[in-house]
Amino acid sequence: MIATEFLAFLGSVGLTPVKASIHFPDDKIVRYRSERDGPGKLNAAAVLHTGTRVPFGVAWHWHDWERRYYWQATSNEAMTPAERAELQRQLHAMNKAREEDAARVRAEAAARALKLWSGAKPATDDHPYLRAKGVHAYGLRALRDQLMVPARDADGRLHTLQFIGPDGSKRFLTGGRIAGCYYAIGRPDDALLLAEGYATAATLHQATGRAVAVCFNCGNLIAVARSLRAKFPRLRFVVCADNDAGTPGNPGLKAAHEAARAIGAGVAFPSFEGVAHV
Amino acid sequence: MSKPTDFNDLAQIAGPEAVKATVDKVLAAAAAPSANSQSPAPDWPDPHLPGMVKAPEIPAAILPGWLGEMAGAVADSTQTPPALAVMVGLSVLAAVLQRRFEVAPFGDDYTEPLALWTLTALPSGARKSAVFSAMTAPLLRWEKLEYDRGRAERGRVASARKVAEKRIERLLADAAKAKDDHERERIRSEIQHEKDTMPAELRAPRLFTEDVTAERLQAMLAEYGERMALLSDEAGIFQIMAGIYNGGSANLDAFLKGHAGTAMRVDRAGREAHVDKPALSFGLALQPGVLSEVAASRRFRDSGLLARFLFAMPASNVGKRDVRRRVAIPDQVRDDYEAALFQLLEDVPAVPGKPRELAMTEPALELWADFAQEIEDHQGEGGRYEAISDWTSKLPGAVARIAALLELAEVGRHAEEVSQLATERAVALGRLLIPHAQAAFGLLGTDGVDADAGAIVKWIKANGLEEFSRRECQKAMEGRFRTLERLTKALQRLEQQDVLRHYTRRNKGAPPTEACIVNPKLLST
Repeated sequence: MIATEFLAFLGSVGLTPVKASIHFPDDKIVRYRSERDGPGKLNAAAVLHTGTRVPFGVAWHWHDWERRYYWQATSNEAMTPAERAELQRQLHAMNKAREEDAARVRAEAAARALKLWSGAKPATDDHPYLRAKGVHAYGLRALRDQLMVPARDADGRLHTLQFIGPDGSKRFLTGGRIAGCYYAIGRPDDALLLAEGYATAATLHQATGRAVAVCFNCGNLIAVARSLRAKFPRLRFVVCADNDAGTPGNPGLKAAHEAARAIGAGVAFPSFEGVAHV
Repeated sequence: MSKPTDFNDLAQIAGPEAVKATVDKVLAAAAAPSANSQSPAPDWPDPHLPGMVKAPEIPAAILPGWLGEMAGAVADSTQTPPALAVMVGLSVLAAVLQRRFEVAPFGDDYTEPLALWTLTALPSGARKSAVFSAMTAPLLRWEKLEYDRGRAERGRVASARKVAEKRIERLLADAAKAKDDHERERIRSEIQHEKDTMPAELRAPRLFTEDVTAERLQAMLAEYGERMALLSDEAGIFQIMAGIYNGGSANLDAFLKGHAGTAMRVDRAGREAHVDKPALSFGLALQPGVLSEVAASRRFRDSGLLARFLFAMPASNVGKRDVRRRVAIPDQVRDDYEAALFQLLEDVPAVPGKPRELAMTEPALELWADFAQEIEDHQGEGGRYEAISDWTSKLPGAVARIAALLELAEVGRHAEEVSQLATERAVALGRLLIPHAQAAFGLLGTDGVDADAGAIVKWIKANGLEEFSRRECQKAMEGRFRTLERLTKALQRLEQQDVLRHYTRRNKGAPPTEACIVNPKLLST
């Protein structure tokens, strides 16, 4: 009954497990694949506590790390101060376990990234993706047919790798930290450009000679912008946005404007009006 | 090609020149932050100028239930910053519970008494008295009720004592006229019997006073169950502590021991006071000017007296109040406040016993210990709180006291442990109080590093500097900064206060320059 209620709650917050037969053992964090995840991705997690007078549970998703969804069984009984204190204690312990779990996963990913990066060979411009995009391999490495783009924090620590396939498919190492991490092409003199993907950043570097930071996706622009502004307080910054005019809300341009507002930067975006398409 | 979106697509369609032209156009318009003093870069926080730290608001909701509601209602009714009612509310709570309870965070022999010292600085005319009247009214009422309730018994005891005293006087006279030693010995034993059977003096309980000398305070602590609170919106107590009645040399021990709860033994000609575990709370509200005058006494700071106060430096509402707005404190809120305080005051022992210890639950302890460690890590040399480390050293203890007070306020006097919820509130309040203390100590006289930092700020402002090198700064103030170490400390302090940011400027073919960029908001204020 409680498990059914909890499953219904998971559905209501968009974290429905793909496997309907999923079991939540008491007090144990269960990582599972939700309906919004691709095959093999255990990006959702939940924990259920049934030992208390009023059972409760918490769920969260890897892509929305800061957000937690709390559930409490419907009950007519009010909690006593002692029970409330116990509930607080359990939530605190659970949050701690969650943080530890995340830190462990991230540390493992960083170690794996370092191992893969250390063992890989420098990439050449012959890679099909680079040829298709017409850009050079600025400090990239290759593992079999995959290009590797390292994601480092402002202190230079490697956290994860982005793999780019010959067909342009991109993926990250599972569990690695990406927020605030970037890949730098060139050294900044008086200005620094920010771009989403590697090919865009390499194009900008080739065309302008300026240093460019690859932020990997538009959701990471603001975190990288803040981190780099703190590192280089006197540089001019330009956020070079993707112009996702065909996507509702134009997320690329919107994120670029937010990042620019946060650090006092300019926004440059490509305009294709009046440009002959190939 | 799918629908073009990025600069790579633009380069492939229109060539790299189009990319360069687009970016260059924006770059030309994007001035470096250092050259943009008119519109401060949005990522710069407000600078905390030395001695001018802006303190955040202390909301009434930080206190639980009836106490928070009353503080909120009083602040709303009087149009005063909620910080004042919050601080007075905490002192009232301490006045009610101190000496009867203690908090033992680890559940062992380390205990903190529940005495609390709060001090709120607000200018004259800010309606401090109205807040004090509303918050202390139940204490006055309780004292009066207790006075009336015990009147008959006190009268009986007083007359019995009077009779016994008179009889002893007569017996003494008889003893002087006794015919022989045998008769004298008989009278002496009668006197002893009278003394032994004389009932102890009965006093109506008192919770607080407004104005007291150190000597009288010692006596009051002995007379009123080893506990007393000083709740006042006047500055008289500081004048007394500064020695107005003692030729400028006041006895601060009576006050200091009351905060720590250490034993007090006074054996002077004409007066005695033996108090094993004194508990003294303060709830003061003063004008900022008086507070800065207090700084003139180096003894206050050196003795740790000022470090014991939890300061609130709220922005005054004077000049912003709506004179036509009249909101009464809701009766329900006022009644709940009084009823809750009266409940906490039930079973107040006439003779002080051993205080009941409240340990912290495990999560509460974790939370408190994390906070204490955080403070510890930042109060060492070069740390964020170095300048007020005497105050921050006492902050974790004060937070533990507040947590216990809030737990007792919420659960009642039968509370067994300090919960995580109460500790969370106390820690949140503790965090809020740090900038207030920084502001207060800024007013009270800053330390040497702050004075150096202040001089650099003056130099920056006088020259309108947007950035400068460390060398330029040292050269401009050679007299002050004879050593690089002293300059570096001052610059670090300014960096902590978001006044400037340090960076290393690369020079082609020359060693790098250590430079600082100034928060544009500093020049625009």
